[in-house]
Amino acid sequence: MKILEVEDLFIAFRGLVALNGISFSVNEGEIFGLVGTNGSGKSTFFNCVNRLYKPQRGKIIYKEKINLLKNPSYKIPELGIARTFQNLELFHYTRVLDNIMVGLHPRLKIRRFFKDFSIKGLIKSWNWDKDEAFKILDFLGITRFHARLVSDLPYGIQKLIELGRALAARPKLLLLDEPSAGMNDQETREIARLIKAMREEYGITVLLVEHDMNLVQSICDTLCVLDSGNIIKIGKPDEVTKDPQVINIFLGEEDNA
Amino acid sequence: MRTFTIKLGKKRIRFSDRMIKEEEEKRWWILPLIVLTYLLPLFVGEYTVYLLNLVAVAIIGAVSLDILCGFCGQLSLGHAAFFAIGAYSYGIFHMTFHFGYFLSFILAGFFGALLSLLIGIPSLRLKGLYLAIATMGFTFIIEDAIRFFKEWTHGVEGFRVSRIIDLGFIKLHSGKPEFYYFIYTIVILVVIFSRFLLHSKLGRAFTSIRDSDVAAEVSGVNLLLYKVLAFAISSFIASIAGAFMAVIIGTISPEDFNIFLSINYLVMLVIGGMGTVYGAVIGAIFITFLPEWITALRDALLPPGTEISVLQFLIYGLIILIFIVFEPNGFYGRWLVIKNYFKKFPFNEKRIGRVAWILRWR
Ligand SMILES: Nc1ncnc2c1ncn2[C@@H]1O[C@H](COP(=O)(O)OP(=O)(O)O)[C@@H](O)[C@H]1O
Ligand SMILES: [Mg+2]
Repeated sequence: MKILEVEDLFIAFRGLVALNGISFSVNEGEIFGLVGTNGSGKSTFFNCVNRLYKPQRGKIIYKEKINLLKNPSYKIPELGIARTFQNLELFHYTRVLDNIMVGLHPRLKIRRFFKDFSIKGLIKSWNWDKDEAFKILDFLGITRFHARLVSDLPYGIQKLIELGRALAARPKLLLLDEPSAGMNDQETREIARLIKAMREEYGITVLLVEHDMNLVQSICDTLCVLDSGNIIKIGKPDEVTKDPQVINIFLGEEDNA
Repeated sequence: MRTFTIKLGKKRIRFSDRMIKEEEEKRWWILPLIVLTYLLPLFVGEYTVYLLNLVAVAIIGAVSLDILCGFCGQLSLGHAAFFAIGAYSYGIFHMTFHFGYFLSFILAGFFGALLSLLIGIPSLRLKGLYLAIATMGFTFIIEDAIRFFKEWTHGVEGFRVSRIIDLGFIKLHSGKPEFYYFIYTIVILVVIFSRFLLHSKLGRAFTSIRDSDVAAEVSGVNLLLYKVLAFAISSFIASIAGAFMAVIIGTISPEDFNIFLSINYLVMLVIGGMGTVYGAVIGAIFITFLPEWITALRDALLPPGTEISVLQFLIYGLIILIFIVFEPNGFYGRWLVIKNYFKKFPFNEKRIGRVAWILRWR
């Protein structure tokens, strides 16, 4: 099944075309890599999915029937799409546990509280959010930081916390914006391991924006290369990385760097 | 789940993450504090009890402002307006329409919550200082409206509100110590409610809006709904506080609800510490007793009968300045820093990290 279909998505900022009518689709259960040089429109695409930006043209179809562009942005997580940001967007003045629990927001329904109306059920649902948050922290291996303030923790851990907040919503589709940016080699490997484990444990489809070509090649099933708002190539990682045009783009970038 | 090992001499101990106990907030001190609150009037004079009743109103008001400013990060100078709405609608419902006491209180609360929509809905667009200015305008409008609707509110002459609350089995006069027990029961309920609110889905949505509205939105928080809810809950409680204020002072007039009242409540939050409820309580107590302490200071230092209003504003301003410069997290923030210092005592880092929940007004 196709979990996400993008059709002719176009967005421009005062004449600067950020996405020039792109179309592609993501299959359920795959890890889909979106790569491209800086400013090629990857984050802009995520912001369109989240309804933070309003595309001038095009469609984003979720699960073959829901047009995301017809939903307000707070509905998106309820539909099963969660994301992280390139530059962390955390709640700096609350504890780690509270940060994760905000991610539970779309799943916390008053209905659940009254579902099994017994003392035992009540006590269970009383702590439901905490238990759920601890499960996520355990999965990420950062339980020992749960009572700390986010701003006291190192950058790598903060990245994981943001990932945890996204996971807490139990998404079907997870959008990760450069999860390994600013991380060292060991942390990058840890992230790669987690992304794979996430798919196994929760059955999540991952849409991954990444700079680290090694990471992308090792974990992605499909790669899509963007350049100034246009799609250059979509396909299997080893095919895509052999494409001369793609090599050209990335070599050009390395020369600049 | 991952495991990690710790070496203790020759032994190796394996931990799994699950074995790390959750750090629970310690709550043992709450019950003694409640008991102390109820025993207090036995030890102090009648005048102090009257003051303590005013403190109770201040606590309810400060906590309600904390829900809006401290939790949700919406800077408001409109709280005096909600006080006024609560006080006058209690007066009108009870004195003019002869509704029951309980009903009048609840109606006053709902009326305040309803009118809060007027500034709650625009708050989606107005942020930080702009919201503060808009809410300040709301205070002026309400103050003028009270003068305008003379037939209902008696304008500047003042509106006399009965100082008695009849609970059915007992008649409470707001000047008498019995009233203390009643109002402090309400205070305790409000404080407990707010603490629960802070750790509920609602409270977390509020704090997430405060810290990063983009992240809140992509986590599924409906910004408009929750901002409006924060305004509604906050002004409901503030209106109840206003109604109590009317019962305690007996005669209310528009000047009682001017912009200085709003500022005073913000000062309580700054001095006590924002976003924790306890901070608001500490700030309310401190600021309400401050004039008394200043008077006592005058009696001790200056010749009797010296005019003190100048001195009062001077000290007031100085205290605010000192807090903003040296401890923007207020008394409660300082207390947390001290507590953390002793918790880690032998292993302190050289510099104690400041507890970082100063709000960013954005
Ligand atoms: N809010 C905005 N206003 C104006 N221009 C923007 C905005 N967001 C992104 N852009 C522009 O769109 C282009 C794509 O940006 P972005 O999607 O962030 O790139 P990246 O692929 O590095 O994530 C850039 O040229 C950027 O300057
Ligand atoms: Mg980007």
